[in-house]
Amino acid sequence: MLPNQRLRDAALLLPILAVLLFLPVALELMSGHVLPAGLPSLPAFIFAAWLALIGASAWLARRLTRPAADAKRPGRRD
Amino acid sequence: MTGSGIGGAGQGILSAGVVIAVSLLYVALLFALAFMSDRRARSGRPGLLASPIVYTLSIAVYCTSWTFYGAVGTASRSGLEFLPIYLGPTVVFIGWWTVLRKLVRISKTHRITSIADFISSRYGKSGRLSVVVTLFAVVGTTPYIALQLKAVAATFLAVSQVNPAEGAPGSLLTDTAFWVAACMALFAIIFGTRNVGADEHHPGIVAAIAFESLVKLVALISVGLLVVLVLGPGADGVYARGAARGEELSYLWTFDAEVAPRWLAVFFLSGAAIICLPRQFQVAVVEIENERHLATAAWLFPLYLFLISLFVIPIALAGLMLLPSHSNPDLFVLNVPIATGHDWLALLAFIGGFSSATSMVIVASIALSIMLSNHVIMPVVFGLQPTQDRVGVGLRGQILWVRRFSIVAIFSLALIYYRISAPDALASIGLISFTGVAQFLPALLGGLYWRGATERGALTGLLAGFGVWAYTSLLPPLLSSGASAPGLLELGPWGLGFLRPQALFGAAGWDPLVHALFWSYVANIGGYVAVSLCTRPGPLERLQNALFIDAFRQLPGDDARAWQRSATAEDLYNLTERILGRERAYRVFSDYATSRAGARLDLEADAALIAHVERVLAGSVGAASARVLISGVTKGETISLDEVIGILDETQQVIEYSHRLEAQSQELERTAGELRRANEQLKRLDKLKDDFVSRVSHELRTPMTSIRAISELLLQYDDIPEDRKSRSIETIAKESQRLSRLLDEILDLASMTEGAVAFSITEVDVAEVLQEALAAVQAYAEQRGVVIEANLGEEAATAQVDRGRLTQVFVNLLSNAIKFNDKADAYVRVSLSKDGGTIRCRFADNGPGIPEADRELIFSKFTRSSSVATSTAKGSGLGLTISQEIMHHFGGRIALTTSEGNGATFTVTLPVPQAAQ
Repeated sequence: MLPNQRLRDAALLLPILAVLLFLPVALELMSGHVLPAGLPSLPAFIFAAWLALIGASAWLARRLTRPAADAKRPGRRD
Repeated sequence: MTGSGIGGAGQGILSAGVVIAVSLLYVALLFALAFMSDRRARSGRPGLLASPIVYTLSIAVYCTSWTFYGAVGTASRSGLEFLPIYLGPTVVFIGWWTVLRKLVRISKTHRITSIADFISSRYGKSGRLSVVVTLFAVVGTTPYIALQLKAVAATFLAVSQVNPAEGAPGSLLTDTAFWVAACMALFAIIFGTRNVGADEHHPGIVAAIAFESLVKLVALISVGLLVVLVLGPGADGVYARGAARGEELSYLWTFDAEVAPRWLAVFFLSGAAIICLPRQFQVAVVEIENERHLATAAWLFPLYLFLISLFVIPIALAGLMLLPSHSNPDLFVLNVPIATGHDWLALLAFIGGFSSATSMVIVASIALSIMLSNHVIMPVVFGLQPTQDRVGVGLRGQILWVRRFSIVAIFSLALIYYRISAPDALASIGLISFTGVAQFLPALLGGLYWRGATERGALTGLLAGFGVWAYTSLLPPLLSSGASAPGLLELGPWGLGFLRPQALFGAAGWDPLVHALFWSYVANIGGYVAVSLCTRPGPLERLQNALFIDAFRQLPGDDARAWQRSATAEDLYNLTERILGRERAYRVFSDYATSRAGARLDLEADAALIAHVERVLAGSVGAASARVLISGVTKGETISLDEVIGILDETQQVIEYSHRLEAQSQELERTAGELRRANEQLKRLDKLKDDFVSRVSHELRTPMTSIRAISELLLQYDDIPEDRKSRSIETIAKESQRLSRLLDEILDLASMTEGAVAFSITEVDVAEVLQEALAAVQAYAEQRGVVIEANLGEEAATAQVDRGRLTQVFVNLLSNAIKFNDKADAYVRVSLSKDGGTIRCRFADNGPGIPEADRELIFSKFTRSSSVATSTAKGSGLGLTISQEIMHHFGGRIALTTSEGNGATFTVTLPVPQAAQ
């Protein structure tokens, strides 16, 4: 039950994290620098964050749609 | 038009003829694909069609030509502003678990056909709400369709190198947009109005737009790769070159705090649009085959958006650097390949743009036609025809024709709008349209989570929001393009400055989009919340609101209980037949009959059947119309408030119930473990019984055989000596005794376990009984050479027992100890003690003992310890079982206290009567 609840909380929080990443405040912070490769920092940040969110979403979606496999997994010792 | 497009050097291949031919081929391909997919789906072999990838690609109808060409245009003009259009939907899909999943679940359960149907269903199947939503959707979407037609026409001119003056919209028949509209209307009619579904599924359409989504992605990526490869080694090269142009182009990759409000507004609006645009609701919520597809779309759709926006900045940069400064940034996607001599790539880009335009146009027109027919036209038709007239008339055909007519009407409206509007008035319609449909969002989301939201609240919010939206967004472009009312923009109506459309209440200097969004949402949410707080929902609303908000906790069919209404099954059947056709109606009823195993379809339909039919009809004509139709044939229609409250309460109970279920399942698991162990024990016992039955048979057979052999001998021969004869008869007598003893024991045990034995319980001195038993076995012990040592103590120990039976127990234990002891210095020690409320008799021997594994079993029927060789054993193996049974009657027991190594020790315990203590 526990890991499942945690996953559901994560599914609720991920879009909130996404909104935070793309708020003007974050973008202003990232704007105007130049990365070593000559890439401007803002597009690099946006696309990297975007890709990370896609990855997280894929991972979460897989776990969320396999509740049976979850239950069999031994609980984390913490 | 043909022949005039041959342009300059190296651009000869793209004549108008070639472009037209390729476009026609492409459209033919779409028709073939849709046709085949429809066929496959109907034959029940959906194959790829049912895959989540096709579903995801169909959602990508979101990327219209406005985003295909416009993203690069926007980037060229104002930098990264194009990104939030893709980031908003990304956030919504990443958060699929919370909102989208609930929308889909509800829509599947209640067979929702459109966003208007959804909102009207939630607020008590309100007819007027669905009309309002439908009309606003038409108002918001038609200009958007016009924009797509314009994009196709403009890009056709650009790619086929027709001189703009020559190709300017002349007569209708030479206008590209007209032919595109005609083709797409035909497509939508053929594949979108094939039949009235029980749920609005159009596999052919979905397959076609999924394919188109793939085409536009490939096209844009190809152009992007060209730019990156031609302009510089890698994307950084493009940026480096851009940077070399100095500060002039840096707006393309930096963020200016001034645009923050607009960024936020676009971010929010695009997120709202991915749910609220009628066509997006259609593909993402109505057309979905399986709720699990959402889990794939949760990352695949954001990935699609990511890929389609990856090359936007490089293409914009290339356009700004390569093309003359006066060229239109909206056409960079086409003009960059043309300028670098890659005409075929330009053609591919044109097809990509064509795909984005046509897919949007098709889906939008179908979604709108469903809404128009279900919520605006059919209710009027139902209302005009008296009930008796409708009998026998196929309404199904009427519905289909209404939808076809609606599609043609929508396309005509869009064409008219396109032809009369000013050339540049369409450019901003994309975001204006987004703001319009975003007005549905408060009613939609509030409907999912807020129990207090009422129909009147939703209606007020929608009307107020749309009013302000029209005044602040729709009106200004019309005013600036025409000169109908000079001064209204600047002075406000009747000279009231605070009502200026673009500076309401003194909000001057705001970005028009932010301005429109802010004030329309203030009006919308304000009206929605205020009126909802002041009104009470009716019974039907209350029912629907419980069903929607608790969608994940309810079983379909819950709503049937709350209705108190009756109808004849025949009326219901006739109604279904007229909407769905004979075959489908038959299937609906026979499926229902089989799903409720054994339930006969009686003359009088029950509440569950009425609710079922209403839901099926709702899948074709929308919830509000289905309700009107059903009320036409039902009597005494009321909703019992008690049941509604019951359903509401149940949701609370369900939570508690699930906790209890969890506890129960844990307990079940424990019980199952115990059962498993018991089962193993049973199996072992069963095997032992089998063994013993064969042993008993064997033991019965041995005396039987000798009795038979001897008696046969006696019969056959007369001359047997007298002494031998008498010895033989003696043997027969002994063997018979053995037989009857064995049978007696078995019978004794059987009657004892049945409780059929009468005990004569008296107060008995246990020591005395023990003495008797010792005396009885004394001779046997001497014969076996076993020494018996008895220590009976001084204390008087009396118990309430059957004297004879207790003697039997003691004799049995003693003779067992003597019988199995084969040691040279064999002994049995007997002791008696009284300890508080119990009397203990211990029988300890130094025999072979009883192995660990047999300890539990020796008290069971027919067992002997395995340490005793079967061949030498005497007795039935019932002795201990009988003894234990007897002791149970006395309230005592026999236990094996120690064993193995130093022999076995059995302890008999007996309770001391209360009085004697």
